[in-house]
Amino acid sequence: MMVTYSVALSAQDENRTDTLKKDFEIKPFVRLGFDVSAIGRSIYEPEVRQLEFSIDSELLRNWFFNLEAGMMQVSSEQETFSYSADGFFIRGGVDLNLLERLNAQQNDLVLIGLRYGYSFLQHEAPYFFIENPYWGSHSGSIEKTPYHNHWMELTGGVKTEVFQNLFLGWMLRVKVPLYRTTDPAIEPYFISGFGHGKRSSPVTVHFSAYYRFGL
Amino acid sequence: MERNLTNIPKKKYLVKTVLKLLLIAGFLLLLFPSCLNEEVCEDVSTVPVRIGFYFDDENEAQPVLLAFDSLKVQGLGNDSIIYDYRYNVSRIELPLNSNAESSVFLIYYPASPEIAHLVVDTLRFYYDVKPTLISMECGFVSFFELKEVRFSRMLIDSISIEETSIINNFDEHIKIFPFFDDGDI
Repeated sequence: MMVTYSVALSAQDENRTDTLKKDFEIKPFVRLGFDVSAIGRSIYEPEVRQLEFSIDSELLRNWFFNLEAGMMQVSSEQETFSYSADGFFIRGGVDLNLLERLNAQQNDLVLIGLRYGYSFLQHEAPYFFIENPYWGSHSGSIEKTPYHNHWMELTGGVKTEVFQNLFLGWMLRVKVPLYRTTDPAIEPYFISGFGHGKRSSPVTVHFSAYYRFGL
Repeated sequence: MERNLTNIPKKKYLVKTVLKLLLIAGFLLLLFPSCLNEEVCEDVSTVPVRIGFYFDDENEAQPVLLAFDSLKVQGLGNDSIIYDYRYNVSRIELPLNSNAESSVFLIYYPASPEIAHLVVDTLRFYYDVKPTLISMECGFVSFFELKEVRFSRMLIDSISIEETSIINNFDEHIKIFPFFDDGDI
């Protein structure tokens, strides 16, 4: 009887192990994301409007391949200057999930990653006025000029499934410039997908919402 | 090693809780830049070229700051005096002309009144003007990219261009080394 009981227990454990193994199969999906933090930016920096979308998929276990793209517009007309810019950007790269997956239903992620980014914009200053108490004021205009920027990003963040297939997450991005247009007529105020033009290596935080579609 | 299945629900709850806390922390980080985004615009329309006077002391690894008893500095073609025989001057800041590609300044050293107009050096700066939008609150300022600095040699022995980009930071751009004679300045 004891032998029979121990054999039954052993069979039950094997079934549980098989179940665990089956739960770790990767089901193909595509996850679409939208950068919600742009809405926050529009409150404290209304002159800059940026839209960003993303798409990612787990093509290898715990490796997520990402594509991000968006558009930017800057516009300000004031007594002493007028400035406008519009552009687009694209980023591609990979994220690695550091969080142990306990079962197939757990889709929460803690990610580190790498990106390559490129942006293009055109900007102009139809007029500006600069005071100089000693030599006299200076005024002028700058015609529409193009600007290119290439950079690498180190990323880190989380994505957590708040409802089925609906994710929220944030991503910290450390940007390392690779190449930008040299000696431009005017430095851009804001570079699409990169950050403020006056910062050489901006660090930004993005908050996004995602929806996962099974394939 | 077998997994303890009874611990999985507790772990899952813990992971969810930690991630939700991280989510809230990340959201709060978003608000942080808005708190820091306070631009102070006081007098940022002119970015001066910063100059220090030094002498080489053989006992020191770095040049030593030199102070003039008094100094008068004026832009050529401008009646306004920038430094009107200010005392104990070791550093000066000179505004560059955004309407031109060069600016000339006259440095008058302390001397008796009969010859004061003769004891003078000329500094000429050649540069590119770079209008820059520094913020929506402050608007445009003129930055400069120094190309060349020429000087006369009444009392100036040599100069060193430390930084060619004249922007809104506190870097010293030029070091001037006067002819140095102990006790005479």
